[in-house]
Amino acid sequence: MSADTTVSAPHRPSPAQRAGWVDLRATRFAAWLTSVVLIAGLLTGNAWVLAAQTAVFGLGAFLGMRTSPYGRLFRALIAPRLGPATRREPEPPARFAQLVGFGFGAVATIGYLSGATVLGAVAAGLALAAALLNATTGFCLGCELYLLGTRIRARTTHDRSTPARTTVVRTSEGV
Amino acid sequence: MTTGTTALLAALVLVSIVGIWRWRRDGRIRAVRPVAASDAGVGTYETELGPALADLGLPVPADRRSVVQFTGPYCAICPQSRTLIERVLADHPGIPLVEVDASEHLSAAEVLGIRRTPTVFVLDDAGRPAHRGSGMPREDELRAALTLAERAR
Repeated sequence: MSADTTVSAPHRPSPAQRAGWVDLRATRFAAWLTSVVLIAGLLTGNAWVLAAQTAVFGLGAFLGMRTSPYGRLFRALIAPRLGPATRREPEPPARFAQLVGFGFGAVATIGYLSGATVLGAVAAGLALAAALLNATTGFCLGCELYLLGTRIRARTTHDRSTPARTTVVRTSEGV
Repeated sequence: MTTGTTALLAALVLVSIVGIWRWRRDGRIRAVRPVAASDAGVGTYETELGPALADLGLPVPADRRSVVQFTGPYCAICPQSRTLIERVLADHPGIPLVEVDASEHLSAAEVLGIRRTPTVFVLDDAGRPAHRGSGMPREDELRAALTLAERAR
């Protein structure tokens, strides 16, 4: 083992850090349900379907993912059949994604209610695209936007190099 | 066709395009510098040979081959990606895995064009990037890159 390497405990999130993480299966399930509701809204042109979805987005965004009805449904009906979560994701980006959804959902609802149908359909269509992308590929557009935002914020507020916090997690023998 | 149906179809097309694009790119391990023609199967020529990562202030080896995984506080798949890399590196006992939190090295991350976590680098024996990829690394491509790294003397 060479002198320049240090071996430390694996850099996995501690249970305390994990407290803010949500079950990945729950977010995927919520994305599927969101897609179905948005498709129903677009096909029927019913503003109240879109309003309901917007309310769900709002709960997740403002009160946390655990208050989201879709998350509750997952925990009540599906999680017991699947067993404990094996993969989790951090909540802040997912919550921000719900906020983005809330914005588009609100525009869609107002658009359909006020007769600006094209505006409403475009907003609902974009929300559907993001939800469907998350449901089918696991790619969360809102999360990526959140990360982009934190990077820009970090760059503008404290652009400095911080002390190294790295772990060499596996070193070779006899090198 | 109603406005809603049109928007629905447009959304489906959009999702298909973005999904396929991501599926094709995600986790690809590409050569950062030109590779010999016989090694062309590993990846394509991408950019100039970059600076040694240690020169950017990153705490990585500058005198030996290594694999560097850039992680972040909100990286959901980094633990899995790391497990995969560790499994691959079990076949390359001379090559260590180093994890760097990209959010703590923002200017270096910018120089290296790291936009996502995990981003994985295979460094040559001078600590310069030889191969790189973002997203969950493709195991076969990572193995091929490491075999090349060990062959290059």
